[in-house]
Amino acid sequence: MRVSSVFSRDHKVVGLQYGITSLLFLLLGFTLILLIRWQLAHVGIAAPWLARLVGQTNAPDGIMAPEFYNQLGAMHGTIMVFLAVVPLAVGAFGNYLIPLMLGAPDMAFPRLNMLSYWIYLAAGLVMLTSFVLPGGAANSGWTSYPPLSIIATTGQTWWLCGMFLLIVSSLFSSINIITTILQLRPLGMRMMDLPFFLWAQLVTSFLLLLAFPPLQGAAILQLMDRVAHTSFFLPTGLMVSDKMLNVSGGGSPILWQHLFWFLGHPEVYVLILPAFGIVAHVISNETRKPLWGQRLMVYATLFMGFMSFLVWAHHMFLTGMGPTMSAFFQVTTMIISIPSVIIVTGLLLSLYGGSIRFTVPMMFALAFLPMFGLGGLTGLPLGLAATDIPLHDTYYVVGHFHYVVAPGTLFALFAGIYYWFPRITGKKLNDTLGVVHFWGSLVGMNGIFLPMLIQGLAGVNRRLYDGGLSYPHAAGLAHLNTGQFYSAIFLGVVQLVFIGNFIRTLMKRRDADDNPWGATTLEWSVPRPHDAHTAIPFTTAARYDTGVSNVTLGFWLFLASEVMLFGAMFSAYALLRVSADSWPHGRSVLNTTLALVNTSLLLSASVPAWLAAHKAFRPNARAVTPLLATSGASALVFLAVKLFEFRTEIMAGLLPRTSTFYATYFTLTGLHALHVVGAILATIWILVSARRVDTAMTYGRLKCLALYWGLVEIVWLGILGAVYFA
Amino acid sequence: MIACAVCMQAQSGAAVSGLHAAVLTLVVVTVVVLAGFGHFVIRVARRQ
Repeated sequence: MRVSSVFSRDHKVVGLQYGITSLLFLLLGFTLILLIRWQLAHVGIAAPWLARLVGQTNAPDGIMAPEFYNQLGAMHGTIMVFLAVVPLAVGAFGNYLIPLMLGAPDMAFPRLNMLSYWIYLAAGLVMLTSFVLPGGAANSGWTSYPPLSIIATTGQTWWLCGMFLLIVSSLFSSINIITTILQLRPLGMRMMDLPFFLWAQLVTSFLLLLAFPPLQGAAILQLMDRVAHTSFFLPTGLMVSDKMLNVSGGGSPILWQHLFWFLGHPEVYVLILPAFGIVAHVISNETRKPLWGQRLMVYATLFMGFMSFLVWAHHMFLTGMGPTMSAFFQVTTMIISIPSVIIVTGLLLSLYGGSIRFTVPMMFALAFLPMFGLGGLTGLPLGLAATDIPLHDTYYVVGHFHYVVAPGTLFALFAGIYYWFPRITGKKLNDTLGVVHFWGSLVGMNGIFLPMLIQGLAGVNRRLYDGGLSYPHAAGLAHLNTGQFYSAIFLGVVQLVFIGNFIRTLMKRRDADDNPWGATTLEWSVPRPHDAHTAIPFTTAARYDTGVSNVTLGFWLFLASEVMLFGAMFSAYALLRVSADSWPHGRSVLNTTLALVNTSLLLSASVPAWLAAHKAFRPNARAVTPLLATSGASALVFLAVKLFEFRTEIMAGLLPRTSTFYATYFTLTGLHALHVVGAILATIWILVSARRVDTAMTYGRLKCLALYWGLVEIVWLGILGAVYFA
Repeated sequence: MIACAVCMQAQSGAAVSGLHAAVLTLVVVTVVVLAGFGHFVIRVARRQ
């Protein structure tokens, strides 16, 4: 295999790389849960094979250590959600199929596409490597709640670094998908002409773009707590093992919940929307008729995407947020169930009057409907505070979520794999083995998740190392753990059938015709082999209906994600400040004169950048160069002044760990300064590359630089007002 | 803070106010960004 094909920019190669990698992560995540289920069914029973498999440290004398059990739980959730299902649903299916469904040669930004995959792989490897560190992998649950995650072993730091990389990868991917769908549509293809699959991918990408940055901000704050010993998430007077934690305090563990769930809930729709898209595609083809009410389903998807940003605090009813806010989030949560019902109803009605073919992909798609329905309906009580409070943190939540994602999303992904496998390989997966895989998975998954709902309703808490044996109310249901263990084993055996079918089919000679399902959508019209990569022609021209060029749209999307990142940081500032017992006035403890000097320096950096991007200077390279040089020089002086300010404070003993105020000050201004560094590097790059590229391209880059400076300026004014002068 | 805000009618307190301020800030930022996208969508729809 050539290096060029490994580091390919071809969307098909990148899609396959995402697909294979995420399937391997899926297998790994499933293996971890087999160990968890074994532990819950065999509490206190020594198993020599376990010590050999995971080492004496993790299983002394063959009995799983509680710390290792916690690692398995945290990493199972992380791997399944962030490294397996989302990359498979969006990275693999999205990258491979979107250009084909649009009739486009590639994604809008092929290099960015390649980069997103490699950063994703690096993120996964960073997280996996943490298993071999002293203390093992992250062990604070997939939600990484503080204070536990702050005092956890080194694996948590690696988890945060991996998550940071994963968010960068996700950002690149979502910018690419949105730009591709909006900009690379064939001329004349209106938005409402798009297949529902593309609408689902489009809204999913918006969710990824806007929901992930707040978690990125939260990860930065948690890293600061762990590495720089700040107290963003640590309250005053925190006792650990009967000892007062030696930190400044003044932080709030609720802040993490607030920022985590701002991602966490849209993430549920990130998991489910691509599944809707795949199921809709398969159902439409296998019933031989168009979807019922596609336009209505599109509007429902858009509404769901919008509302998914306004429901996150229903995960926080137990924090004591107060009845007013609780009522608001209960109402929004009930409202968001409406579009889900519309979509599922549309899919169900699409079956009516159809000439249904019960193929393997169709069986998975059909099973998706009741399984997702069960997951959705069991979620309703969790959206109401009165019922959520007793059910919170019980196995009921685990059962509900798994019904949405496992026999829900995963069934849709399996439907997609069986359906598009011939399109990708020219070979069709064996039907008999597929049917065995389907029925086995349906039985196995229900055998695991249905008892969880019973356990949860009985009040059995999740994350119990002994499965509840130490609690009288839970011990009576411990026998269910044994059934769940054997169901998990059965499910694993059935997945081996799928893996065998997958490998066997890949190894045999091509046997399928180009379109075994008789599909009529655009992705099947490209004649195989379509492995030749057609580079996408670069253009700086604006598209007639969107009014922007690819690069401009992509950059606006990037800026939107940056706004969300800083929005989350200011949100954190608001929480810490308002809930603090005392908070110093910035103007009395910080050097406001230097801050005003820096404001003028930033203006003298951003104004020349805006002028350079102005049409008046467009053909005049001689005028642009000194403007950019002035901009870069002013930005450098800004950084020098900022460093001087930092140095003065540090010399005076005022460190990020001194108080939450200084932690906020250093983190906000430091993050902003990093953005100024980014602007300087971009300025140098534009200046250096201007000789090699045409004027139109340089002009496009200058416009992006000017927009970026606008963001940096606005953020600085926010910091100036909130931190220095408020 | 009281564990069950709904049952205990907890409406005040610095921690609750802080969470309200944080939620409000993030909601405002999100709505502004989404309104920007909405504006773009309407523009595209009109041009089609």
